[in-house]
Amino acid sequence: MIRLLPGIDTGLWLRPPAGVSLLLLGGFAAVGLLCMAYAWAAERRRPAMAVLVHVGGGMLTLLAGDLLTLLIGWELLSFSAFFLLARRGRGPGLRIAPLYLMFQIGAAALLFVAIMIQAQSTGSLDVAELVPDAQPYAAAAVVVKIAVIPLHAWLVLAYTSAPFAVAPLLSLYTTKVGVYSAARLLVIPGLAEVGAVMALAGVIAALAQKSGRRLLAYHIISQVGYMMAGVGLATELGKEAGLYHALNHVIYKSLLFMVMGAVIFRTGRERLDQLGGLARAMPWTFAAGIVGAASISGVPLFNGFASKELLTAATEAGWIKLLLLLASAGTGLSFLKFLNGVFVQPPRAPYLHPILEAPRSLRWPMAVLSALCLAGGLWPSAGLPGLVHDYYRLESVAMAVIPLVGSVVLWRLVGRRLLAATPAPAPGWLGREARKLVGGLRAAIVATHEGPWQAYLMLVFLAWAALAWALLRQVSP
Amino acid sequence: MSSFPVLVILIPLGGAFLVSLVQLLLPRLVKPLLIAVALAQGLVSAALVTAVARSGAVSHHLGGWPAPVGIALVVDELSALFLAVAGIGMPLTLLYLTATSRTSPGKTAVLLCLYAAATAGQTVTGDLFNLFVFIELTTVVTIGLIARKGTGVSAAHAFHYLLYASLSGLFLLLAIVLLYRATGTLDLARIAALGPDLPPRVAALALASVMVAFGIKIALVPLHLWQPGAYAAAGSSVAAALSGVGMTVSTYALVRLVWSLGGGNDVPGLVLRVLLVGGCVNVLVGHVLGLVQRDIRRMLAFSSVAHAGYILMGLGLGTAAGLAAGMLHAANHAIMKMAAFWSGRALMQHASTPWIPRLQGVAYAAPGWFALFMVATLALVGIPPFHGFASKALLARASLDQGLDLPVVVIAVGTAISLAYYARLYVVALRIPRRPRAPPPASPGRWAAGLIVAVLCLACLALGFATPAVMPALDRAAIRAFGLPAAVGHPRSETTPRSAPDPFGPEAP
Repeated sequence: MIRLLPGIDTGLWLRPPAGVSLLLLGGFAAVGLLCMAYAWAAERRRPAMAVLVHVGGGMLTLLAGDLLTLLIGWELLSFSAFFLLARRGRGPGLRIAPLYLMFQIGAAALLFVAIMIQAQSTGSLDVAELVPDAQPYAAAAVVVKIAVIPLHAWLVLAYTSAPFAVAPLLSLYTTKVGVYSAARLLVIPGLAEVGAVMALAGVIAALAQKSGRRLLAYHIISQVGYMMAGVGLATELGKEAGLYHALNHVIYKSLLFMVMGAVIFRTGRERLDQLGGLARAMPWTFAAGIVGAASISGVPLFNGFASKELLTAATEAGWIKLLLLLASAGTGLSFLKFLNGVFVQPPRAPYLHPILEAPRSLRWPMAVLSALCLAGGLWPSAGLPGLVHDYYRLESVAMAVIPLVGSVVLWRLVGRRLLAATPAPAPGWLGREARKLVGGLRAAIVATHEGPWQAYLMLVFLAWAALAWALLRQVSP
Repeated sequence: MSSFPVLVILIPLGGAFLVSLVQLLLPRLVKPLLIAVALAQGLVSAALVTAVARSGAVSHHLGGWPAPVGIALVVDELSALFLAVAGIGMPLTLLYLTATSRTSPGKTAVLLCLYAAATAGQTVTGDLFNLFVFIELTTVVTIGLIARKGTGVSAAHAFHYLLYASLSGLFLLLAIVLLYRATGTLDLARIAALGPDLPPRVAALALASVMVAFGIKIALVPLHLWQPGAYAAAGSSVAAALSGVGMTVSTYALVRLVWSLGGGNDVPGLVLRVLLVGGCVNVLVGHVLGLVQRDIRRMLAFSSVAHAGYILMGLGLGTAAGLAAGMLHAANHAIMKMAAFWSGRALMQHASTPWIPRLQGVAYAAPGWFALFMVATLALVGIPPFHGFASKALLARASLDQGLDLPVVVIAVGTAISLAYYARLYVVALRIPRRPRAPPPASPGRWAAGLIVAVLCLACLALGFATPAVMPALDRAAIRAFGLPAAVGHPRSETTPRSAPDPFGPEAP
């Protein structure tokens, strides 16, 4: 246990959580550093401060020994992400940044209410299971943080409008911190079910996407659903499986965002119906993409397989298993679409300049992450040394292969249709009307506050009369 | 030491006189004189506050006359907190004004000196009529401060304020007349002692009048309509004092009078409910209206409306914990609002406009000021580890102690809304402008002003960590001043946490 500030007993200390292996925490830190290297290589003006604060905030949350430190970690993540989004000073990232911050701080405010109730009932700020009164608030905070489907706008908008170099970093901690907090704080029935539905809904939404990073973003929602399906069980095995999946997910999802980033860097395109034919031009990036796609789809020998297998083993309800199985098939299909769209299919419009392989500074983080994906699949029990589990049994491999075969078959049937070009949607009228409404409201407010002073005087006398009447009635009814 | 309560009034009062004199004779000496007055006032106030914190109340009878005839000046633990705000906030304002005004600060400085005397007087006086005189003095000075720019708009806002403030004075006078007829004394301590024996109808009417009188001064919705325009007209450097010191001191007077009339712990439930519900309404209305403002000063003014709501919410809980949290928030708000107004003023100067949509790129033009503004506004929002978070957390805890969830939800919602309007400003400030901005006119005293604001921002950070150390003293002050119960039962503490072993929980010690 490390005190952040000597002399203060009420909070602010670090304590590596018991029951979560240090390797797991180290993994989070290592992936954070790799994403940092990637961001620094790709941006001309290095985002040093915000990136460091972001990684630090993530680690602070994971190591928090008390709820106050946890909250500070959440806030550091939110604000550094805000600056990472806004730092170019123009473009979609700047537009989305306040929305992102609103959602994040809304979640933090809910967590704050939960923390207050917890401190009030138990008198301690330890990170522990919250009292039943505080659970609904903390659950609401987590639901916003992990972007359950009707509240997912911030995630998709932010991760697709961020500069490509920082997108891997942004996708790294925010949602996983929600999962981790759920594992530490929540015991509320229904989380696992919500997670399983999320896993499938995210995949279905991802299948409909035309843009590479939007597809990846919806897969975050789906993968976080997997994690919640484990963490929400509130059993020891479930929590470990969920967090193990979180670590594996962090590795392959940042790899996939890096691959997409390298593609955007070299081509300037990101819609799947405008890309294609990069397999020959960018072989290393293609290979990294294959590794990432195989991991996220749960192909045996890659790390996604190991944690998905552990999750299935932790789950008991049959229909949750079925939902996760369907989600796996959908994931496989979705990434066949991704790889085909970006690398394999012939490009619809020729590129204006010859495409080169990604520069070496972007390639080596991808190479390290790919190696980690493979290592996690080959030695699955290394990530959770405390847990004895036989990952490569016949039935577990079969359970992983069946949905993959299903997705390949589906790809043969409907794959072309998934990649068909579609026109961009027309901008909606809702925004314009809302702006008009706010404008009218503003004019009305300004008019009231500059306005009729006779009415003000009436208001004062009315207030006095009402108050005096009420007080007098109380003393002599 | 016992003459210090007189000094905190006399120093700025004499300063006002000397400044106006020196301005006619030796204009060059105005600035050094102002600095001397500010330093003297700050040091005396700090010494007085320290003495009270260390060894209890300090009192002084003017002319040696005892209470029924003479006027007493009393500084106890409760008024010491507010004296700290008035006695250090006003000197900082004077220093800021001296540093940033291009020529000699002139009439504004005289008015601010008078304002310092009046606000310090409000906190130290132990006499009801004396309090009234000081409040009227603040009113008159405030009118001058609002109208100081001499434009038509500022005259209109000064007129609005004049109307409101006269009504406030009228009702306060009504309350004083009622109380004097019923008790035959104007000494606050004696009125507090006689409080329970007051005829109930008199007490009720006096309470209603006091509430309306200070509701206007503190900007309790819907009596806040004068305030945003007045702050915008007065300009940021003065609005910081009006919001940071003026509102805080009015809160003190409200607390003093309401709790005296109610006779200690027997404040009518209705008044508490009005304060609590009114506080919640203030928070929501202030923040929502702040969201649609386009002028930084008006936005910060509405934020003041909302923060008055937080303070009143704490008072309305009716427990020592709530009162202490409310008062702490009042002091905290003074610090962060002054920092926000002054750093916001620097941003406005760099953009040459107070309009938020035109602030593009000021974050790059003035990174230091932008960072200070962010610290101040994040403290206002209540982001840990700044002290705004600490007092909001204490407020939430005090309200949960009473088994009330709604104020906590209001606090959380208010936090999110206020963040929205500050975040919008950050985003505009971070946007790279299409055309490079013309360099702003060189503003005098940038470094001195920056130093003052940086000190305030550091206080935001340091007090956030020092809150656990400060809180017991405040609790004691609240309990001793009014004989309040520490807390009225813990309805939640019956629910015991689950005893299932948590595999992720902390290791057993």
